[in-house]
Amino acid sequence: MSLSPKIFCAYVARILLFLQIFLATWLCSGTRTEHFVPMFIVSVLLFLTTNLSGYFSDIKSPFLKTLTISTFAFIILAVIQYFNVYAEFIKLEDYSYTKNFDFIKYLPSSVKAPFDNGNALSALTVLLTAFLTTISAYAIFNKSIRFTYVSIYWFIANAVCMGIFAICQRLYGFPFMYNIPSLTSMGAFYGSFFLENAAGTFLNMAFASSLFCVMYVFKKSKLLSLIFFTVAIALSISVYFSKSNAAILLMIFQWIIFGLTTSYIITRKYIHLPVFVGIVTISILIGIISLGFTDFVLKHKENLNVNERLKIYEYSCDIIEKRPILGWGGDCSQYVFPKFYLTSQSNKKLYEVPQHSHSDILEYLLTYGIVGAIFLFSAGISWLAEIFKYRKYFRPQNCMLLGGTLCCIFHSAVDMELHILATMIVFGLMSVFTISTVRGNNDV
Amino acid sequence: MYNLLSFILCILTPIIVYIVYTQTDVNLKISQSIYNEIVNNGNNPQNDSLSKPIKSIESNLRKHFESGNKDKFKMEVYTSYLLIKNYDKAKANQIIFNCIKILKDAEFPEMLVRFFLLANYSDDLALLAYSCSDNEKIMKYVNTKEAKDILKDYPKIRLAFLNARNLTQNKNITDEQIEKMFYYVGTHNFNVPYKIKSEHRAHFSYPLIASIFKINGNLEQYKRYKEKSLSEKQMQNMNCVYWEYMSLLIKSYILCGDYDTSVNAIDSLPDCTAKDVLIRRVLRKLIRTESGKRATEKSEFIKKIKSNNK
Repeated sequence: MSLSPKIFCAYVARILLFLQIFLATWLCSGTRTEHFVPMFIVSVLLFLTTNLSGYFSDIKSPFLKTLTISTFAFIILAVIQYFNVYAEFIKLEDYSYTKNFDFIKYLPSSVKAPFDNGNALSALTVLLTAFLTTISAYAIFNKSIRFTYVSIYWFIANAVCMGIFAICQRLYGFPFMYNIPSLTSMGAFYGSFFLENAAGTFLNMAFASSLFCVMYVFKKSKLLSLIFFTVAIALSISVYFSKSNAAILLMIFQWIIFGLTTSYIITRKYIHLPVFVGIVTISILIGIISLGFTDFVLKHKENLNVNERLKIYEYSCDIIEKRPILGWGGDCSQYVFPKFYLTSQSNKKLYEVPQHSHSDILEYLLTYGIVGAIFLFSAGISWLAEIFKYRKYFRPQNCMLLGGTLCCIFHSAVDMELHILATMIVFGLMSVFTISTVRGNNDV
Repeated sequence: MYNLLSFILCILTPIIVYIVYTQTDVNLKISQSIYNEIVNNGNNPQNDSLSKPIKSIESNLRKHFESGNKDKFKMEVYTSYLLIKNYDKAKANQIIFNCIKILKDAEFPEMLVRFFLLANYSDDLALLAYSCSDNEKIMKYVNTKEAKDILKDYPKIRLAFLNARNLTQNKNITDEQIEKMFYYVGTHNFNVPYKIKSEHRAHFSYPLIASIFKINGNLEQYKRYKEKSLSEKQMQNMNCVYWEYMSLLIKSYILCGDYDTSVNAIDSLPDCTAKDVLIRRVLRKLIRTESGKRATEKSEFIKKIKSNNK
């Protein structure tokens, strides 16, 4: 049997997508150059093979178009930033800089730093990896709904293995994977991730996917549904062990969504959706108000490090104000932030010199300015618009994938999850899983 | 549109891969320039951006201190303090450090404490506070109400001063008392996350304790704590904060002049970016003195710096 080049490319693209999910789970979250470059190469090959297989030819999706236009925009923006002749070479020794930032006077501004330490080009590589994987995944899933489900199972299988490994690591004190010494501390790693917060978000998305599968396979096989439920419990335990406050809160939130969705499925014969939503909203309001009367929030305020974060956000806003249009350059906040903090006249002292905004929204605004933020925002809007387009196929189980994706956005608003390549890739895939499964309900 | 993107990617990807595999390590490059600056009398690029009056603070202070005229020296200290206070403190950080060292030699604790408040907080600043433990006048002053009021909003520096004082002033101090005193030093002074098991939290400071004992001439205790700090068991206990611990160990032994231990500790680290960062941060302190330079010349890491320097 002979394979036509198009079909061959389609098979290769699917294998590469599987490989990308595997790498995102196991290749140290793609934090360092040696880890994200293989993922970048896989994403480029994935895109090229998907294009050669002709999968893009008959797609008319606003989400896909916005993503592709954003990719072009970020390439142009990063190339301008990288080759900016007015960019400054930063040489630092214990936060003492050899040159003043006053040298940067022209927009778009950037700093000349090596690729390893992070510069506009390395930031572009990371963004491209996530964008190309998402675009290719959309095109592949558009062709085959069955492959979408297989990909979700593959992602869950990888994530649960990582989650179990991470739990064992915490309990029995395993060293970090591949015996790699961490840059700052061996203490912050979790599973295959250098940062426990990012690992928490990654596992949360896998947890949401497994809850989706619990509901999706329930009618077909009770046993399979039970297996997915066990997997979901294992994943939620691994989220708990990550010790990330936001990840744990969002995991609980997802359990609540799951509980509400299942109770709606059970009671929908007797209660209409608006009544159900009304009851849930009132219950949530009562819960929040009663929490306000207890000292729960005060008790956990210190743990959540709220004051420290708010001060960092204030500094971020001051920095963004200085170059609002095109930003400071991809991956440049690590150079700009300490400089601003140390030279600031403000008396707001922090626990340690910050290098990042610790909020993806602020970080993207800082590095790519309003122009970059508009492209990212429009990608998000087009994603929601596409889900809305298929609203009549929306089923209760789709709430889980949608919830998982939104949880990642919420988490990244108060931390930097969407600057870690593995979480970026999985976030992109989750957004595509959501659209594909909603649209796929039409075929099933 | 997708074909155009494919075309761009076909051009961009080889460029990125080429840049990744042909780049040079910036930490190593900076270490080379520090080495050249000190050993081969090269320029200090850090001083290029400083204004003239700020650059001359250190030499003026030393000149007046060595002349023995106390009144003139005091005037110079006050002028320098005001100059730095109204200048970019982050830029002048190294100058502030050097001023503190001169004030320590001059036994002028009232202004020394105020200069501490000018500097940006770092583990080096904490170590500088601990290094004042051999000066009785400073140690007496930090326990006064005036000093406590000045340091009221700077608990990290205050903790360092008081710990240094208690460790050196109390001759019959027991191990239990020391461990109690140094329980929060890792988290408060060296920004170590709460990852260490509570029973080992005080052990993080073993190299620092050894160093303080050596500075104060208590060699018996120094040997005991040095042994403890380098033991295999200790390394296992500190595994969760490996880089922070090694950083403290190397800097502490540089502080007390035990350069061989620091150099051996650097050589024992696995080759990675974190090691290059650490070398970059401690090289200036290591090769500042003759004995430090001699110890460094024997090390493996200096060979790497020299080989890349050609």
